[in-house]
Amino acid sequence: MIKHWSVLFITAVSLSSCGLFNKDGNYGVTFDSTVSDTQKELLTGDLQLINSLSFSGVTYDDLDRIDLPELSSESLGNFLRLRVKYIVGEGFDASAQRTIISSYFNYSPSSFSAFSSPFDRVVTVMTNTGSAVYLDGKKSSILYSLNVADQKILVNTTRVGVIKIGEGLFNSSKLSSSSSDSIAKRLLRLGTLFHEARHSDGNGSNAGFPHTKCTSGDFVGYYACESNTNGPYNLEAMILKHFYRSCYNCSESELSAIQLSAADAASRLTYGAIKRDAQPEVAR
Amino acid sequence: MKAKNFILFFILIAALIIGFAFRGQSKEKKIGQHSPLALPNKIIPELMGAVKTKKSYNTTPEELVRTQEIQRFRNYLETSYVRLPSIETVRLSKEGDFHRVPFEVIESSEIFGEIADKLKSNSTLTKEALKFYSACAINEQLITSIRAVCARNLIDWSKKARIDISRISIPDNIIRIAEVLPIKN
Repeated sequence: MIKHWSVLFITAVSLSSCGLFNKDGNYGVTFDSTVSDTQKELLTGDLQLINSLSFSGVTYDDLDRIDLPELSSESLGNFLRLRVKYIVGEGFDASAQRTIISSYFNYSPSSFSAFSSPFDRVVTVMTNTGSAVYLDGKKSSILYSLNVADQKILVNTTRVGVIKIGEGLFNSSKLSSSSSDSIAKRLLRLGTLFHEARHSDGNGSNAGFPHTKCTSGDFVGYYACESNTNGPYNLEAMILKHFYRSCYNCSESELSAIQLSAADAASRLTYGAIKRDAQPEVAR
Repeated sequence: MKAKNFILFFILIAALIIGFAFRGQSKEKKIGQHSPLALPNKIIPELMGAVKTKKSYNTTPEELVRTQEIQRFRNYLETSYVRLPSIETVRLSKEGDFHRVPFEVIESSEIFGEIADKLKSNSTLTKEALKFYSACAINEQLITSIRAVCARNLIDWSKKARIDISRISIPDNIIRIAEVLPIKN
């Protein structure tokens, strides 16, 4: 009897280490039917890559940007788990999939700020659709629900966690020398995912950590800048810095692509940027 | 008679002025035809004459190969430099969607990667690369992220080559970004 239990226990441990019992293989993310099998496979691989990352030379400033006590594969996994719950494809039409739950909903706090709509983009790379629908509802005092992956979810918080992906995310011509499943491309996509994850945070006028209008620099006049030191761009710049260090067998071109992406993200920070409360807003 | 002389004198002076003006223009044209990487030569004297071909008859085959290699690298840098994305290029091509890293910026990773590969295999090319990085870091027409990566590379490779780059005045906003970028091993 004891022998049987031992065998069962060893089998369970083995299966667990293989990931068969590991519900967090893709960090609890549910894929909508609008996500193609190829994209699903790639994104699952991206998420699993987090498990193998190790971090060194983490500074207080790094932790301050992501509001975590430490930087590890576990803490980053948890960070994503709370902010990215559903991934939908380019064919997902948020305006068609949303249902009005209440037309005169009293949002509290009611303040909001400018937020560039994700519905009018030319090429979708990745957008935080859940947060955008929440803010849209808040603006018009409407409480929505969204039909995602055969589930009806109440959009009463920026943390609803519905992330839309598009072909732009897998555009192989961007870094022509490496394939879509190369470590470098996986890390670049994860950088974008962490950026969008941050849009699930924030409250009041900073709900969804919206981008601000650039008052100077390359993108002056466009909503492509950031006034928060812990906002999506600055967080992405920090995470890419660490991903660069984790890209052990990457070519110089791939490393440069990560470095350039980090530079682009860091260049979006405006002068006088301050740290803002990342606590997510929940409408009751 | 006096009036005729005066007119002749006036025409002569006018011709001289016009002549000088045209001479100035042709000089400007010549400056414009210089290599886009010529500017750092003046700022960092240590980088001057890095590819001066020896006219001596004592040039060894090895030296000749080295010189040719440097010349080829210089040509590569010059053609790559003009391919780096400017603010204007990015603004025109992205049609107002600036939420993500511009395509042209990521595409430049091939250039930076190629340069790094060459420097890793041949350290005698470092001075030429430093000219490229410094010209790029101070070029206000180029997009900020590109300039910041150039500045990062300039700092890292100049340290390795022990070349003082303190005379290159890279703007604070570029340095601020370069400082938070990952450092090359």
